[in-house]
Amino acid sequence: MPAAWADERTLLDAIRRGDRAAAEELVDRTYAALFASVCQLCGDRDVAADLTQETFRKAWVALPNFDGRSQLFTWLYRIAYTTFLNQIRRPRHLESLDDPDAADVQDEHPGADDVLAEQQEAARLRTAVMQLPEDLRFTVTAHFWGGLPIKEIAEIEKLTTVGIRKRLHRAFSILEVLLQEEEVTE
Amino acid sequence: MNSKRRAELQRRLSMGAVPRPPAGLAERIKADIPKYLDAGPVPQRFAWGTTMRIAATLITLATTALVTMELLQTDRKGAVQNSASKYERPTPAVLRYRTQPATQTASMPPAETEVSLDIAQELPAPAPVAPPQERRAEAANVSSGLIAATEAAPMQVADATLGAAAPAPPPPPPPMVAAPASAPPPARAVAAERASSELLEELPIGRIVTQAYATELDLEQRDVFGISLDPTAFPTIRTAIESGTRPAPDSVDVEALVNYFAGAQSSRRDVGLEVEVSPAPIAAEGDVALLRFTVDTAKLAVPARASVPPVARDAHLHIDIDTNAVASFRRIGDSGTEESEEALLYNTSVTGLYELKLKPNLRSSQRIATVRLQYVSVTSGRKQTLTRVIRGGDLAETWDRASRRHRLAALGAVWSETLRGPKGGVEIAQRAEELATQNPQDSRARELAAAATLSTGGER
Repeated sequence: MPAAWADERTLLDAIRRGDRAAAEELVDRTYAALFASVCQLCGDRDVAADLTQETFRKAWVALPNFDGRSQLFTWLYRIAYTTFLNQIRRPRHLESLDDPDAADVQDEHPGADDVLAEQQEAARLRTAVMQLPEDLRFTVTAHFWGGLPIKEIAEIEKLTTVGIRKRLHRAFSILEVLLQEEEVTE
Repeated sequence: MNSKRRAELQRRLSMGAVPRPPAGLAERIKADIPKYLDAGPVPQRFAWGTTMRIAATLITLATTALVTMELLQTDRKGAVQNSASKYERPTPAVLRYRTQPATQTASMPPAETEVSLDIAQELPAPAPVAPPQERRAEAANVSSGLIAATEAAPMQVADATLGAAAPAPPPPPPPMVAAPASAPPPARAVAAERASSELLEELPIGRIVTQAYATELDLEQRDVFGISLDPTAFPTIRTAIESGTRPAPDSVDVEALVNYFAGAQSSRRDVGLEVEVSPAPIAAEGDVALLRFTVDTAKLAVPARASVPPVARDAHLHIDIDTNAVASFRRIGDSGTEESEEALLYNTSVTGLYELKLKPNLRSSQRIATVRLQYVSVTSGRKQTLTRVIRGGDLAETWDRASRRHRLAALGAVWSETLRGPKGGVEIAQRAEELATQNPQDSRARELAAAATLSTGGER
């Protein structure tokens, strides 16, 4: 990493000047974390990869409007989150590209049950989180899955950190009920 | 939600596996970088010229100097006031306690002590509850719009009986003691540390980062019985109002504001429980009353940086509201009161409020609510139960007859809720101004009056 770009602001300035290497540096620094966040949101690696790519496309276009008040990653996360919401709200007519005649291949790798259980647990939690009201959902996912600090979320939501903590508090109360309901249903 | 379930949920949210990106994703993204990145107009934030920077620096320096001078003057005034208030002794507590005769022998201390509240007050003779029409007539024709259609829960058996009583005289405010609400109970701290170290052992490296953010959440440190005690709540709101900004509704921490204005007092026993009910501070449709419960713990001098020790453990708070007397009720604030608290620390005060819509023609002997606090005393190791029964006769005849602490907490609550709606609160500002005028030494009343007046936006 060039020393001149150690500071996020200088990296941003370089991108604004049209420095392609700086833009690539931004990608290298953020894409993995962004992919992980989106993957937690949608639960599908392929979809997450597409959404991450789409996020950066939008970011290059929106760059002139970025005022630098929040961290670059926070700004990118907001774009990724909106992209994800657009994706799930969009009516889809998807056709499977898989060969319908292909045989199912069992994963005989040791611990596959554990992996499956973990995936089911993650899916349950994700389903519950997605049922939260929009403001609470964004706050929970941004903090836990996007890794954004409370202060950063407060900045982009134009709230105090108290307000964000209250949101999390409310979200926890709702999530507890949703998860309990699901356990009872099962 | 209790702290264990909350911690478990937090753990589950934080523990999700961190997926690695597929090979080639970075290259795909980089291929999309436009050939000519649109530099666009440089935002104002980065475009200040040297002249502007120098001008801004000069303005900042001048402002800082003025503010510093102002603060120094304020500090001197404050020091004079504080030195004067040191010698003021608070009047006796609003409530008197009567310990029920123990049935056990003196050599065998009872395993559980029941303390009942005798709400008989020093001031005016018990007055019958005014008919609803009269109380309505006292109020102006402004609706508080506070009542939510919550069905009252059935009343459970109460343990103590009380004489009918009139409200307490407004005592001069005791010196405010900053409640160390942000200090987590040691039991919790140990548990959290243990859980954290266990997680670190279990988690692969990639997951630790997410867990680190979870510990930053800090949800546990500023509430007691689920009631927020965030000491920054009022300063934050005041700053916003003074700068002419109406705070975002979601940023108004009603519970913390109630606690700010209720203030912190120390209990003469290890744990004390105050319960009081009064008419609503501003006019409302029907018979609206505000029920306040406050738990105060004993005072203990704790060296700086040292943890505040617990005075009680296994505390349980039960609030039963009688549907025979109350048509509907709601908790004031965002989160429901949690019934259990693993530990109550010294120097703690926590206040909660309920808004009650009373049924008409309430009799003096009619039970309105029972509040019961059970805990195990750390010093004696014995289980204690404090029970307060509030009856129709305990309802302050008028708002003015309620205790000063009660009125400040109630006004703080109603004002906080007006901040979440369109502008309003002129009547609240007037009530707060009355409180401030009655006792000019009460800084919280002055603060509330000033903030409430500012937040009305000049309405009259």
